[in-house]
Amino acid sequence: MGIFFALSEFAGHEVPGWVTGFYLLVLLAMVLCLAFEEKIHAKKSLIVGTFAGFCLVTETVIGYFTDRAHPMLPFGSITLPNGHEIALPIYVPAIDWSVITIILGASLFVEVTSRSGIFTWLAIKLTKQSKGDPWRLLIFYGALTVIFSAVLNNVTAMIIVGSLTTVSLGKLERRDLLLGFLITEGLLTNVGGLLTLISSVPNIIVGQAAGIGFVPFFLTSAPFVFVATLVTLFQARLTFGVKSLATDEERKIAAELVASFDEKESVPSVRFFWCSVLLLLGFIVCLAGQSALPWDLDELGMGFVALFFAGLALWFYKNEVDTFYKAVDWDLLGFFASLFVVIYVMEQAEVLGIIGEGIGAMLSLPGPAAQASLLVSAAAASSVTDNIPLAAVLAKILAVNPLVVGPEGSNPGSPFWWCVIYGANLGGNITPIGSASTVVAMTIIHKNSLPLTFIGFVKVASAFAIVQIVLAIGYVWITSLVL
Amino acid sequence: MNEPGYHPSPSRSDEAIDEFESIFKRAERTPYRFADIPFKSIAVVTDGDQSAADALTANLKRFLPHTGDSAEWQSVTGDEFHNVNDLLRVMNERRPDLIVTSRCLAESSLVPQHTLGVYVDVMTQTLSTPLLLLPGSAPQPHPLGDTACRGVMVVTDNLAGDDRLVNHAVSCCDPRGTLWLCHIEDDLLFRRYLDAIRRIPQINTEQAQELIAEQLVAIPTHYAESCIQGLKEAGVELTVEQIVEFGHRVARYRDLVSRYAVDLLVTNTKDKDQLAMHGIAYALSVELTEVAQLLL
Repeated sequence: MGIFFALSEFAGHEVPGWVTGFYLLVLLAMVLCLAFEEKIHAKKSLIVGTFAGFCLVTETVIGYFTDRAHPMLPFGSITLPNGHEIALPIYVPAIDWSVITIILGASLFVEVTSRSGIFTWLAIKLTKQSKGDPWRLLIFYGALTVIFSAVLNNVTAMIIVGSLTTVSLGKLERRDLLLGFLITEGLLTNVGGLLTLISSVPNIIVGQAAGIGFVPFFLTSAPFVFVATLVTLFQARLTFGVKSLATDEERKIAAELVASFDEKESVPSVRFFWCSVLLLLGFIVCLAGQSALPWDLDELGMGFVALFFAGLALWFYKNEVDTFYKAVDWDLLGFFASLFVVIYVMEQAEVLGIIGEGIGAMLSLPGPAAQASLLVSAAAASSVTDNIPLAAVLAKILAVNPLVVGPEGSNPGSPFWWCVIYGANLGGNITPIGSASTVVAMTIIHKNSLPLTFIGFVKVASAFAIVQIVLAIGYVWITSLVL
Repeated sequence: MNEPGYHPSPSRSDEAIDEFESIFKRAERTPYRFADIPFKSIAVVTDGDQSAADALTANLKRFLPHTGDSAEWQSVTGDEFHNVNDLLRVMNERRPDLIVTSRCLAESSLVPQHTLGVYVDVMTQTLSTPLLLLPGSAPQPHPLGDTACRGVMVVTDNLAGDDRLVNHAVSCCDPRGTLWLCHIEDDLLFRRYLDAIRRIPQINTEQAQELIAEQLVAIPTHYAESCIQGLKEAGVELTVEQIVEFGHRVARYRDLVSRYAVDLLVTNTKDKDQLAMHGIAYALSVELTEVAQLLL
């Protein structure tokens, strides 16, 4: 108990120290449960939902018995900007609905447009363009992984490119290269996930907290993504011995084999195909220009843009929209919603304040050292557990830290935001459980009976991850000087 | 929970990986590669004498104009072998590119029915040389006809990727002739699998029936289209038609042979996993005796 009272004094707030300590332990327990999700055999939404319910109930009861006049959870009506008051359960405003709507809208939109065959068409077209040369194929698949991770999400990118890799290398009778290709693609999903604001959930959470727009995000991250992709591809070439074909005969046979793929097979309707291309371009343009939309339309936010385009796309399948609703990853959305509730409770219990003190000490180091230590810490944490809670907790903490937001309380240009973004994304490349896309890569690897253990993955992938993290540290430092 | 018969549902990512692999597999085509099959040396095996062999050779030169005069024709007459081993020894010595013979060779005392005879049976399984079976049988031969072989039907239950079968058929067909690429999917077998699918609640039977049937037809159809394209590019001016359907194989082929002017059936006899002749090839060679057959 002594340590909890000490925490109270350290934090210097009205919440009893033992309460803060208790919820700190609860947060650690939740992070551990997420790390051992596979062992528990329970979905993320259920794990975090259980913790959210537990936190709400206990904090309410503890508040009742410790200081009934000032409960920890601020129950009561919500005052709207126009002065009206509405009654909402405490866990509803606790959720960051802008993040939830972006994820829901974008995943629905991707689900519908991918039915047009646009992504598989592009993937097969590029396979044919490679003429079956392994090195060219690795470059094309690497680029495709990065683009799909940026436009879709890293899991879908890994599934599409990984599946095609299995089929095309089988066709070319080069299954000896399959393991190297799949590992490289898995690693590039997390690089591609850095390209845009909506490419990965940590980007959305941190981007929203920092107030970084779609275009500034892209302009800042694109040079890094380009360089990191090139370096990863050349490193993969050396590590996995991917070479170009040597003789004309080999080139002729390989070209004939890949030429036999028919990209039109994956396009069920040419009309819907082109409509999907237009919708996709419109979606990207509207996201990019969202902050410049006229007549206060910008106030509707990015989530509305995502839902609006999802709604437009659904009209092409107006009779079977329910199949797309079923395809939405409700586990993921339930997980996010529950996570926001847990973080809200942690905020009221001053747990975030305690963690923030520790991070504040890290940020007080000299410039490059502070950036490097935050980035490396975020990467290390994200390598063993889910990067979404990490990003959510760090975003909340950085949003109130004067070293990050400055005297004006808002600084989208702070390099610390980017340390969290790069660390949370690239940390996923250190272990096979570090990100959802590396988990999918391992699934495809095991499905093809390729020999790769957890430790085997770490041995191979950590060399790539270290290079990427060092590049990121250098890039954040350079951009902090230039921008 | 893992009791016998319990099959856990695949996860979302497993389902998605499988879905995309299927999409890419469906886009995969088996391309046809044309190759000229030169029969440089042809052995005509008969249980008759040299004059019978010469007469048969003259007929065969007319029947196979593509190879007719360019090939070296050899005769193996009845006095050169007295049992199967003798004949195999002769064939191994001469090593022809094609053997021409009749059903029920050296079994003139019988009125053969539903059998190829021991010589043909053994040759199809022990020699890798293609074997051209003449119409009828040795005791009761059918005439080859007065014209060149203008109608060749490729007969198989797995057409996709079988370049060898198609190329042999092309090499036997008159340049002005017609080549039928036939793939008959066994509907009895398909129904048996569907019966099994009907007992699996996780699989929608109607959807499975429709989609599996669609793919079983699509695969040989795409290959046949590739053959048409490949032959055109190789400058082969045959008329090529494709017949891909479900049915009882022997009955359907009997029907097709009677419907079209088929001079020669081309079929595979060897299965990777069995010593006896491929089931459909044997059934057709004993049932459809009125037409010549090239057994590969």
